[in-house]
Amino acid sequence: MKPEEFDALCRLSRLDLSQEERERLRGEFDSILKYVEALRAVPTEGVEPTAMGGTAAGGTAQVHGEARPLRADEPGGSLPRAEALRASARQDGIFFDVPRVGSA
Amino acid sequence: MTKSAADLAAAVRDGRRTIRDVAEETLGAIEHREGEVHAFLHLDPAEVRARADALDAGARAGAERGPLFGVPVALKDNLTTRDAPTTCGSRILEGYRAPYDAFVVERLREAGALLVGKTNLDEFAMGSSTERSAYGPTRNPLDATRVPGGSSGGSAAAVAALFVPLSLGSDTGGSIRQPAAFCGIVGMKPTYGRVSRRGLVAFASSLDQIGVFARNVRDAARLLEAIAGPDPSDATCLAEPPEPYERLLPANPLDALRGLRVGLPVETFPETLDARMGKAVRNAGAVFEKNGARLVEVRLPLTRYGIPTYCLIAFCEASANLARYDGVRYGPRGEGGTVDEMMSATRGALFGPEVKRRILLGTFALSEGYAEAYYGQAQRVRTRIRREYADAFERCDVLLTPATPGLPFPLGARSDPVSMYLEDLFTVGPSLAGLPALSLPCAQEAGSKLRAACQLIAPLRHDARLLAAAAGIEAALGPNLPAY
Repeated sequence: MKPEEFDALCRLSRLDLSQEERERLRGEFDSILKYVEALRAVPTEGVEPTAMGGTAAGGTAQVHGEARPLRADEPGGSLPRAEALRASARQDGIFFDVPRVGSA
Repeated sequence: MTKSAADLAAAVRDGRRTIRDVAEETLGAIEHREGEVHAFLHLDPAEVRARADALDAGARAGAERGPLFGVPVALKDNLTTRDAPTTCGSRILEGYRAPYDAFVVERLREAGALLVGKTNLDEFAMGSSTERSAYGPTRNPLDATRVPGGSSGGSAAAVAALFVPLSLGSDTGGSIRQPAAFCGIVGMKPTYGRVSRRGLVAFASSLDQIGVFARNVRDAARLLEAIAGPDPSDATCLAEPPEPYERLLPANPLDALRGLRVGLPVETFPETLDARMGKAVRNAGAVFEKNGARLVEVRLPLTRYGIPTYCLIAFCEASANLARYDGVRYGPRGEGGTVDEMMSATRGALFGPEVKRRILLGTFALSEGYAEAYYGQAQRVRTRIRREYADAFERCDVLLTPATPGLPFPLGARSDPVSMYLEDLFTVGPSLAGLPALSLPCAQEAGSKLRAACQLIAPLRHDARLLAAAAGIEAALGPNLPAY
C-alpha cells in the first residue's frame, strides 16, 4: 500500500500515529493482507454468506442456525444519567463535553 | 487451593469450612506466587475477605448453598463488574468502572461464588500469549520462561497455579482452549449463543463466546451450568434453557466412550505438525478406541483457510466494535482542537500495536470497493467451513484434533504478527462454525511440567455430549499422562 493511501486509512480509522509507527504498521499491514488474500482462491460462487444475529424473518444463514426473534419493543429501565456519565473524562452532569465538531 | 470446586463446595455445604477460611487459603496461594505469574490485573484482598464474610453470614442466615457456593472464581478482565475496574488489558480503559455487572457475573453472585479478581489478557482479547496486555505479560505457571497462551492467559494461569479452582474467559478464535492447553488444564468454549454476552466487552461479535477454565471436566460442567443462558439482553443467545451439564455426566465416565464415534480430521494432522504432538493426539485416539469408541477418518479440506477467514471476519468486526473507544464516554482522553483530532489522538496514543493492526486491516477490508472481496468472501468461505463440519458430523459424534501446533513457546518468541495468528490453527474452525469445543491435557513432557493437549469438538448445541466425551477420555487417560 502506498504511504498516502495508508495515511488515509489511518485517518479513516481515527488513529493518529507517529511517522515511525506508521512505517512499521504499513509494512505489517502489507504482509497480513498478503496472507489473508489466499482466501480469494476458494470457490464461493452461489454460496450464501454467514450472518450473525437474526430477525423474526430469519432467512440468512446464522452462526448457530437459529433465527432469533427480536424481543418485544417495550419500554424498560435505563441507566440513571449520572451513572452513564460517570466514566467520562469530561462531562458537565448533563452532557458529555467534547471539543468542536468539524473544522472551523 | 489444590481442591476441586466440587470438593470445596461440599466442604462449605457441610459446614466443614467457612468461606472466610477458603478466602484466606486462596489469598495465601496468590500471595505466594503472583509476583512470578502475574495472573491478575485487579485483586483487592480486603474486598475478597469482605465478600467471604458476607457469604458466611448468608449461610448462617439460611441461604441456599448450591454447587458453587463459596467456591473461588476468577474473571477475565473483559467481563464487566460494578465493584472492580474493567480494563480489557488496555490503556484506553485504564481505571474504567462499568455501571453494570455482566450477565455471567450476576449469575455467579446469585450462586454465592466467591469472586476473587480480574485476570490479565491480551489487549481486548487480541492475542495468543497474554504478552500484549498493556499491563505486562502473564507467565506460565508450569514454566515461567514460557507464555501461558492467550488471550485468556490470566484466567488459565490462575487455575493452573492453584490460585482458584475455576475461572471464566472468552474465546473468539481459541482464547480459552489455547491457554488451557498451554497451562495444562481444561478449557471449554460452549456453543455460540449458549452463554449470554451482556457485559462481555465486544471484540468480534459473530465469534465471541464466554467459557470456562477448570482443572477437571466435572468442575467445568458445573461452572458452565451456572452461567449458561438464555438472556433476552443478548440477541444471539440461544432461547432454549441449558442442560444440567454436571448431572448429565455418567456416574462411570468411561460409559460415555462405549460406541462413541470419534472423528479424526485428516487435515488437522498435517505433515508439518510437530511429530510429538501428532503422536500425543493419536495416542488419545487409541485410548478412546481401547475403551469402546470407534475411530473414523473424516475430511475438513478447508482447514488451511481457517486462519485467513478468521482474521478477516474478526478484524472487520473488531474495527466496528472498537469504534466506541473515542475518548468521549470512558477512559482517558487525548488532546485535540476538534472532536476528530481528539478521538484520533486518544486512539493513537492508547491502543497497543496489535489492536491498531486489526483496526486498520478491518477498516480497510470493510471500506467501499473492498468489503465484498474481503469480508463478504470470508463470510462465504465460512458458510462452506460450517457445511464441512456438518458433513463430518454425519459420520461421527465428536471430533478429535490437536489443540495447539506445539508446546508453550518462550516469551518474546512470536514477534511476527502472522506467526502469532498461526497459533490458533486448530481452534479457529470450531469458532467460525459456532461449535462447542474443549481442550484437555493428553501427554506430559518428560523432565518438565509442560503438557500437550487435544481438542474435542461436538455439533452445535451438543455441549453435554462434548463434556461427557471429555470426562470419559480424562478418566481413561488417568492422572499419569503418557509421555510427550
